[in-house]
Amino acid sequence: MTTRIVVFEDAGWIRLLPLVYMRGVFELRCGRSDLLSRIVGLTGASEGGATVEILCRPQLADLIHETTGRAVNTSHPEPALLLNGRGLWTKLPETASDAGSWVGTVDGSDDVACIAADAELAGSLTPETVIDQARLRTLLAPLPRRDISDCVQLLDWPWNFVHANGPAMESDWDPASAAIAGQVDEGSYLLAPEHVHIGAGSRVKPCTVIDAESGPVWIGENVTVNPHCYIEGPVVIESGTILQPGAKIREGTTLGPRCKVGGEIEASIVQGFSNKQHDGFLGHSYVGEWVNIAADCINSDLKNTYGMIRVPINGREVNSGEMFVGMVMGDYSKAGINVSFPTGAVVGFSSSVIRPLSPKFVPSFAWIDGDDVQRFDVVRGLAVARKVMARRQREVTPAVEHAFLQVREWALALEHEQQIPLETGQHGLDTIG
Amino acid sequence: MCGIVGYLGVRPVTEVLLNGLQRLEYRGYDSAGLVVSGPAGLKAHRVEGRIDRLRSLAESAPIEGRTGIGHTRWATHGAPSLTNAHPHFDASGRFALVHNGIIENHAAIRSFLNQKGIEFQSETDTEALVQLIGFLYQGTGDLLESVRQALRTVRGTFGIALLSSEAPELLIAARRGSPLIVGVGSDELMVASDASALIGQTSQVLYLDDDEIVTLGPDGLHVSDLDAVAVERDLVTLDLTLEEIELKGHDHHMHKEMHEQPASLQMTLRGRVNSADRKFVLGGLTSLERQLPNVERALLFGCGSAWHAALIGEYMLEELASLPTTVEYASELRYRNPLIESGTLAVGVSQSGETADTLAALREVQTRGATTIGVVNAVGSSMARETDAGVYLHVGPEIGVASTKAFLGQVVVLAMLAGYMGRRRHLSDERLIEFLEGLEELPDKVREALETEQQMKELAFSLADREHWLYLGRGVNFPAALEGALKLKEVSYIHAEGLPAAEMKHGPIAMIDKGMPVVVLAPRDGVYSKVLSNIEEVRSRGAHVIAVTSSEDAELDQLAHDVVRVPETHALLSPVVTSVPLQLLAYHAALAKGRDVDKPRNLAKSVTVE
Repeated sequence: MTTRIVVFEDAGWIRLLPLVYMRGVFELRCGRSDLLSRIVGLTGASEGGATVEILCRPQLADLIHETTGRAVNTSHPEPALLLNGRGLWTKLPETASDAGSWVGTVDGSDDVACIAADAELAGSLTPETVIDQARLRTLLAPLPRRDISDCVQLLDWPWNFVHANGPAMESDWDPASAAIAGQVDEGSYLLAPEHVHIGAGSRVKPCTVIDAESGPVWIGENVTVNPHCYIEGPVVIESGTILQPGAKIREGTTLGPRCKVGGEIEASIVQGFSNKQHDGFLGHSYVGEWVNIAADCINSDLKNTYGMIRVPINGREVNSGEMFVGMVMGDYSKAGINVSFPTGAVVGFSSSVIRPLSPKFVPSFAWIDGDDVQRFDVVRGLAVARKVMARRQREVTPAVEHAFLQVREWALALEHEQQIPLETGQHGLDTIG
Repeated sequence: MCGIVGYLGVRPVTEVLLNGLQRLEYRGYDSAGLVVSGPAGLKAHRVEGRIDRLRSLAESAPIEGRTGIGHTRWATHGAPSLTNAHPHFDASGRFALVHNGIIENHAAIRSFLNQKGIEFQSETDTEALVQLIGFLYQGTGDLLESVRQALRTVRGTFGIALLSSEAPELLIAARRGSPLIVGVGSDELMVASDASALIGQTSQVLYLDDDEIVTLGPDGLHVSDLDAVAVERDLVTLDLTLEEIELKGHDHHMHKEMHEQPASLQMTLRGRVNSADRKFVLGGLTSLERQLPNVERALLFGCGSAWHAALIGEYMLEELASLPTTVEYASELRYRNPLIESGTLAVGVSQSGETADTLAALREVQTRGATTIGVVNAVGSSMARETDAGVYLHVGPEIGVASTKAFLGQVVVLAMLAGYMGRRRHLSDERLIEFLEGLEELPDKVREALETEQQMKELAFSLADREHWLYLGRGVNFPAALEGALKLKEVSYIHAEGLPAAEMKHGPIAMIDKGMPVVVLAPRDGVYSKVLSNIEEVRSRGAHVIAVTSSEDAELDQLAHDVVRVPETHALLSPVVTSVPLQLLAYHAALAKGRDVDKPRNLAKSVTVE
């Protein structure tokens, strides 16, 4: 059994923007936890244990080291099993000690799911190499391929995370975790309690229904569920989150830590530390951290024609191949009251939308007020971020600050066509649409 | 246009690049350069002027490596200079790019990058593209994604090849609107603007389509589109030989190509005309076979010599097929608001199939509903692929910038098209057979016309000091006169004008003074006597008359100072024969003036810019 596991980001990180401007792809959530924690769980369960290191975009190395506590971007000429960080791993590939280097793929795709690397190869797998598809392909070309479809599902786009979330939560459920350690007030009901976990310090107030008949409900520690809530599994609610009265949390939803949510949320992932406190609908969406969605915001996740939905990732339309796709909202972005988001909308990093109907693509660092589109200054954005984070007792560390400022430059490259009007002052919705 | 070449393989890359550039030099020769990716990173050489200078520089300062790209330039943006010579680098020096085409929004890109503190080294549009790639790479960290992003941003045309010090063993190439061919050899891969650079090195090629990117590396080649979707492409066998592009004893490609005309016309006609069976076999028109008899009018368009060929085609289509025909300059047609009525057959004429104005005109008429045919020499070119049907010239590669065998090939193809259409539209058997026989005899007649070379040489040397020439012709020889004038201008830089003979007296005759050379095309045809009158008019004003005729006529011998005799042909086909001495005249006039015949100043073989 390989004792060195390296979780790496490949070129596919670009497809997961704007969610990964300030996090590694492996920090995205799917199932019971984020992808990295899932891998750590698998390695920890293995005989002899293993160290888990990370190869990521160099610009995020400090931040990811800070958030994960793991060794980041330290290439060593020691044998290693490299696992693609956007993989939903269910088990680790078998690695025989005398097998030599090989590459794991999924369903015949060219994407690299894993690399069993000998010492020499491991030493040449640098962060720069693994995130460059052409260079990685050339380096790995001579190696034999193995299909490891039974070990992992590679998640390519944000909507893949959303659609895999429910089934992953169900398969991740450990019956042994069924327990009610928190307080469930009289007048609340648990349907299929054998599929419910409520962590210590959490409180479920009266007239709430937790319905685990269709899938497990996992509630972390110190979660407050206010009266008249309905929680329909499979659902994961992480520690410190607050459900406002009357919240309807529907199947396939993950709420990350320290969120405040209300209204209706269906089949969505909220990364954490974000607010959608009031009435409104959020469906089949992925929302980042430090996001605020004001009262009565809604998003569409189904076309009237029931057709396939196209999503503007980095401003370019991608056919999702899915009928249900909501919106993607990047970290630190805000939606004003009563904003409607069209099907497949993407809102970038640190942007604001204050108009009845949002454009389908909102570039990062854009302030949209009615028909006017302005550049949201990055320094001002950082100042707002400090205030928002302070309200949850979180600090803007130097690594966070550096990464935040870096996003502006990244966005100029990665959302180039839509950023140009903001840079040159050619304001107007038609210039960014 | 420019020429680009790239190589990845086991042979010394510099030599391969230089040889490839030499073959592409006819595409542009203002400046040249190459860059090699080796142990010491990206190393480049650039020169003003010809490939020979680049070769000398490369030999004096060799660069080791197995991957490289090269470029020979025809200046569009930025003067011909060392600074503007390709390859161009980004600010970090990690990317080197060679480019054929024009980046139309280069100014906006440059302005944006200037704001980001990036300083440019040249005036070229190309540098804007490579600087943009370098800037985007800082964000993406992914070579291919940076190239894709940049190519999605730029507007205009490109055939590019790119090297990066981040991946020394990779070569990335892409195209939009400018041709790019990938050659696959044993242990080596190549890219080039056209097949002439690949001949003799590989016969297996792949023609890239617009907005396709190819990555060449130790693991082979990978083609994808701008959305990163892999594209499966099949290799095809290159149908060109080394023999076709070498000089083979001639001093210039133009001379060789003029003397190839009997054989090249034979190839144009082979399998397509059969007087015994009274038919034309144009396989390239099969898909339109049922539509063509119902065509109501024809619209021909082209640029330069192709436009002249189209003018000749107009006479033929109207005479043989009774088809109302108009001819347009492609450059004008594309920007007009043309009325394309239903039942219009639009015929684009272009040797290279890449001429920007002709391509744009084609797309314009297609948008308006015309059925389109291409008359093209270059197999697999953009026009060949975009038209509804077409007829290749099959005259082989034409390296000389001034068109000779391609022009005659275009005339012959248009003649076949006219006969083909006439066959389906009431052309009598008698006239059809007469025309077919005329076509079949053409190669021999052209061969005979080439025997006038010595006479044309003596004429050229004796008159090369004259500053202004006039070319006159009537009927189907009027366009031949235009072509003759163009040839003289192109290669000798002497001013010449072509006119319908009858128009001359409506103004231009005022120009004629003593000793002014006037070339008159006077084959024995229905307007011969009228042409004789025109000769008298100019002679009486002191012109030095050179008559090109198929006639044995004492009167003409008296009127003209010099009589050039060419064989008689079918009246409609006479331009094919009368053009030959005019080509020879231009060639030798250029020699008399000490001009570079194959690479005239300011010209490019295929004008792929507007």
